[in-house]
Amino acid sequence: MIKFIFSEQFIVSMILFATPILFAALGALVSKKAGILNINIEGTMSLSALAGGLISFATRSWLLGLLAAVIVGVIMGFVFAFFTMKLKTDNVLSGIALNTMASGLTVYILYAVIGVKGDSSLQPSMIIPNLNIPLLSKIPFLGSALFSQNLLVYLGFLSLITLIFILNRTKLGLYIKAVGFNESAAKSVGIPTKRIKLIALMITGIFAGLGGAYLSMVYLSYFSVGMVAGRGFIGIAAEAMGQGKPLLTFLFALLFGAVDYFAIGAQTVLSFPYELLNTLPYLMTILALIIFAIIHKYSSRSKNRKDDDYEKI
Amino acid sequence: MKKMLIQLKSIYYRPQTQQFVVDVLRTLLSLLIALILGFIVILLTSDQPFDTIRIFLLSPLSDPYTFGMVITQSVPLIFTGIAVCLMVKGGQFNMIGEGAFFAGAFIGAVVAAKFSLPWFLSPFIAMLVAAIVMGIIGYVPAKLKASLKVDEFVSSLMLNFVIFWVIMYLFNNVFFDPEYSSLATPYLEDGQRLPFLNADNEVSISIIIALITALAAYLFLYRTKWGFAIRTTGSNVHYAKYLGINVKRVILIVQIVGAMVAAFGGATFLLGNSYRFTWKALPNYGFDGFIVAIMAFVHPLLVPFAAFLMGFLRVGASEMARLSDVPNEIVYIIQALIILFVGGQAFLVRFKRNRLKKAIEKEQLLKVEVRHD
Repeated sequence: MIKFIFSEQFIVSMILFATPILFAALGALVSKKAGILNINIEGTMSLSALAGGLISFATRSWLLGLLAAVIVGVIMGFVFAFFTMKLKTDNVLSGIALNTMASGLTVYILYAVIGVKGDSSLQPSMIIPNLNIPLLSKIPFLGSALFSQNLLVYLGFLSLITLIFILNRTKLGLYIKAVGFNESAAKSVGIPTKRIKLIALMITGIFAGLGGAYLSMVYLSYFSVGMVAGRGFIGIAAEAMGQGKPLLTFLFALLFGAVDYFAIGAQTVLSFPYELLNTLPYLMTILALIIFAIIHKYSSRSKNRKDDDYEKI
Repeated sequence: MKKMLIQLKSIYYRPQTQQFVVDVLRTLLSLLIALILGFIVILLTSDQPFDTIRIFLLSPLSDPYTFGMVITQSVPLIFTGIAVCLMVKGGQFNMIGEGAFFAGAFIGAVVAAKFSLPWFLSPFIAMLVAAIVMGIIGYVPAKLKASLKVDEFVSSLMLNFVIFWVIMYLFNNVFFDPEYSSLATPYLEDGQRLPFLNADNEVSISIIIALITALAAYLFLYRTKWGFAIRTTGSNVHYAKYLGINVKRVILIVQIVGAMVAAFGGATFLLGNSYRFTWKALPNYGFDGFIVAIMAFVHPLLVPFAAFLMGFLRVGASEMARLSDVPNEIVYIIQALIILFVGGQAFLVRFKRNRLKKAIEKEQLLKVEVRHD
C-alpha cells in the first residue's frame, strides 16, 4: 500500500490523471476571474474530445485533431457568451442547457459519422506523442515522471505559467480581474467589459478544448460517450478550493489527480470494493470544500464581519 | 353586456395577465426556434427527413399505447421539476435531484420487495422510506450551505456521484436478485407495485400522485407561512432577514424538501412502471427537472404541462429513433435550445416592455371608463 503510493508509477499516473483536471481548473479560473461561473466546461470538454478524436482520425494528424478540439472549445465559448451576455440567460442555466446539448450532440455526431452510439474505437484517434527530454529523463525516480511525459502535460505546465503571467503582468489580466471584481466600476472607467468577458470565455474554451483533446488523444485512444465523467466539475471544484490563486489551483488539480488514480490503481492492490473507491475523488472534493469554508468562516469572523454573514447567497 | 366586456378587457390588460401572455408567447417562440433548429439538423443528416420529422411530431398521438408512454414519461419530470421549483424558489441551485431520484428508485424497489402488505401499503411505505432516507442525505449540502456557505451547486453535484457509487455498491453486492439473468433487484409482485390506472397502455396511478404532489407544492409555496418565507428568501435575502425570517432555516428546509420530493418521485416512478430496478447509470432526470422548472416559470402548477411537453418530445424522439435513421439524442439538443431561449432575460425584452407599458396605460383608461359608468 505504502509502496504503491510512493512508486514511480504512481507519480507518473498522478500527473497523467491530473492533467485534464488541471486544464478544466485553469479554464474555470479564467472565467471566475472575469466574474462568470462557467459550468459549461464539462460539456465543452466532451465536444472537444469528440472533435479531436474524429478529426485526427480523418486527417491522420494529431496536430490537426488538437487544433480542431481547441477551435471547438473557442466556439463553445462564443456560444456561451452569446446566450449569457446577449440573451442574458442565467450562467448556471446556460451551463446546464449547454451541457445537456453537448451530451446529446456528441452521441448524435458520433452516430452520424461512424454509425455507432457508444465510442469511436472503430476509428481510433491519433495519439499525441510523448516528449522525452534527453539526459534529464534518466534521473532515477522523478526523471520519467517529470521529463518523459506527454506533450500535453508540458503544455499544461506552460498554460499555468502563461496564465499566471497574463493575469499578473498584462493589461488584459488586469482588465479581466477588474471586470470580475466590479463590473460596473470597470465599465465606468472605460474598460470594454463585454469584450473582456468574451475574451475570458474564449480562453476558457481553449483550456477546455485542450482538456478534451487530452482525454480522447492521450488518456484513451478513442472518444467514448461520458468519458469526461465529471472532470469538468472536479476542475471547477479545484478552482473553488484554489480560491482564485493559480498555483493553489494547480496543487489541488494534482491532488484530485492523485485521488482519481488512487481510486483506480488501488483496485488491484487493495481488496476493497471498487464502487466505494470510486467515491473517493468526490468525497475528497466535498471535504476540501468544507475545510476551506471553515477556514474562511473563522478568518472572516476575526475581521468582525458577523453581520454580513448572508451577504453572498 | 358592455360592462362585462369592459371588465374582461380590464382583466386582459392587467399587467399580471400581460406578463403571463408574454411569457407564454416567449415559450412558444422558443419551442418553435428550437424545433426549427432541430429539424435543420435532421435535414442535414437524415435520408428521408420529412418522414422522420412527421414521425417525431405525430407518432405520440398515433395510438393510445404511445400516448400512455408520454404520460408515463412525464411522471419523473413532474417530480424532479417540482423538486427544482421548491429549491429555486428559495434561491438554491441544488442539483441533488439527480442523485435523489436515482437513489429513491433503488430504495423504493428494495423496500417494496421486502414487504407484502394488503391495499398497496408496501409501495407507499417504500416511497416514504425513500423520501426519508434521501431527506437525511439531502441534509448534508443543505446544512453546509446554511452554516458554512459552501456552494450548494458544487457540493450537491459531487454528492450525486457519491450517491451513485454507493448505490451501485449496494446494488452489486447486497440487494440483487441472484436468480435473475442480469443485474436487477428482486421481482416486485402485484401488491408491491403501484396499480395501473389503465392496464391497456400501462399508465399507473403514479401520474395521479405526481399531480397531487404538484398541487401540494403549490399550496405549500403560495398558501402557507413557510411558502411565503421561502419565496421572500429566494427573491431577496436581505429583505427576508429584515422581515425577521430565519433565513438559515429556510435554506435548510427547502433543500431537504427538494431532495425528498425527488426521491419520492424516483420511488413512485419505479414502483409504478417497472418490475425491477435495473439502472446502471444516472438517469439525468435531475437535470431535466431544471429544464422543466424553467419552462414552467418555476411555478408548481405549470410544471405538469411543461413535463408533458417534454415527455411528448421524448416519446416522439424515441419512436423516431426506432423507425428512422436519426438517433433520439436530437431531443437533448432541442431541449437545451428551448431552455437557452426561455431563460433568456433579454429574449423579446422589447416586446415585453411594450406590452407592459401599453397594459398600464390601458388599465388607467379603463379605470376612468368604469368610473364614468
